[in-house]
Amino acid sequence: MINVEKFVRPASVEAAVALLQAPDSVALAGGTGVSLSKDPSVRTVVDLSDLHDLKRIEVQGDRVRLGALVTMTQLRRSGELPAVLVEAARSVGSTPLRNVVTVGGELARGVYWNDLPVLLLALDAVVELTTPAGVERVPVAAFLADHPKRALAGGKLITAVEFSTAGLPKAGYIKYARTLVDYALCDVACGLRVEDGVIREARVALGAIVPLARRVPEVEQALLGAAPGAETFARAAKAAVEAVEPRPDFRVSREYQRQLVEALVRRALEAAVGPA
Amino acid sequence: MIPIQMEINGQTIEMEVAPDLSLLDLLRAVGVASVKKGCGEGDCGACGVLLDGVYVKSCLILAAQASGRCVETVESLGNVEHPHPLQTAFVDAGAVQCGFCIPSMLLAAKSVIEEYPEPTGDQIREGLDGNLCRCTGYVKQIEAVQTAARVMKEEDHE
Repeated sequence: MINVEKFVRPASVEAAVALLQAPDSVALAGGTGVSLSKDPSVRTVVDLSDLHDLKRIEVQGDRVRLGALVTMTQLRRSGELPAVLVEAARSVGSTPLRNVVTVGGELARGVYWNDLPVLLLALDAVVELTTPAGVERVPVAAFLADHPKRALAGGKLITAVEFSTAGLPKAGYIKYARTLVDYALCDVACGLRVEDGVIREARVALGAIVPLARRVPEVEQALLGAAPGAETFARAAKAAVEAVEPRPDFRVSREYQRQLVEALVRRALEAAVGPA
Repeated sequence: MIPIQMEINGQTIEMEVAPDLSLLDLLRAVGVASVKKGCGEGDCGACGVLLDGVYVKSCLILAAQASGRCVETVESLGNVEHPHPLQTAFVDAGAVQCGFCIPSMLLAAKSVIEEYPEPTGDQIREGLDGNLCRCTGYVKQIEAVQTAARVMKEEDHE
């Protein structure tokens, strides 16, 4: 914020997107990231506070649409969202942070400790981006694959996140941190579709232990076609350890990180299928 | 500089601020000394305020972002002559030692009781999870919030 000259609060999404076309502009949602930014290139802050349409949660049957400015506290209190999403929202920061941290901000920030994107990967959510030309829909995996900064380049604004709860009825999420409010050491989320006692579809995502949340196809392959249960989950957990190179973390040793990945992948899978 | 106006504890102020000024630094500059600058980066919670009734960390909110909105700090809660039930309960329970974290913790506690008029221990722990206290160990504060909630409920019935 060191070189900021202009602070504007547009009244519509169109006006916000037009302002974001300036390469020296930044979108301000909850502010927990932007307010501390020392980025010298930013000259214009586009405050999204007045875009009230983006603060709505819409649930229609198995379709869920979260406006980009929906806060973690709103997710916690909504009462109509899947329990696993409520749990993931609870795991973000502390109460005064959850009161301002938004769905869009969790995605746009692109730092290792963003918890929500891990679950959104397992839910195969779609990110709605609004540009001057119209609306684009990008799967969250593709949105994160490079870096959110690149996905948002050219002044795109995240306006919503959508997912269906129908495809994958079984989902699990675990955040592991030293205290409830600390940055995660590791997040794991998974979504499974089980038919006739066999796993037909599997999505497993890791966060915090990798530089940016991502799916782990090696684990998903280990699950497909197998029967959900202790043996399969142990094999999948081992596959995760093989597949992932933990991000260096001064808080814990590499050996500890590997054990964490194995234990947490197994537990998240167990949480997804529920008690035997 | 950016022109802003906001209501602070019932008083409207109008002024011009730098775009990077935090709400915390603004509040301290206009004399609201109960709001403390501990870490300045969103960890300690000593700068907590109610912004349009929502409990937030004022070091992470830009002053310009808070323009047009309503800020409440502990000064709006009560005073020595007329303390708020939370303030009485904190004193009676011995929940205050050095006092640095208390102004914001009282506001966090107020939010908890507004959401849960009869809060459980877990609901209080979650509501206060953004406030570090290095003196007390939190036990007395949790008791105090429960006591205050009971008193406020009784006052409501009278």
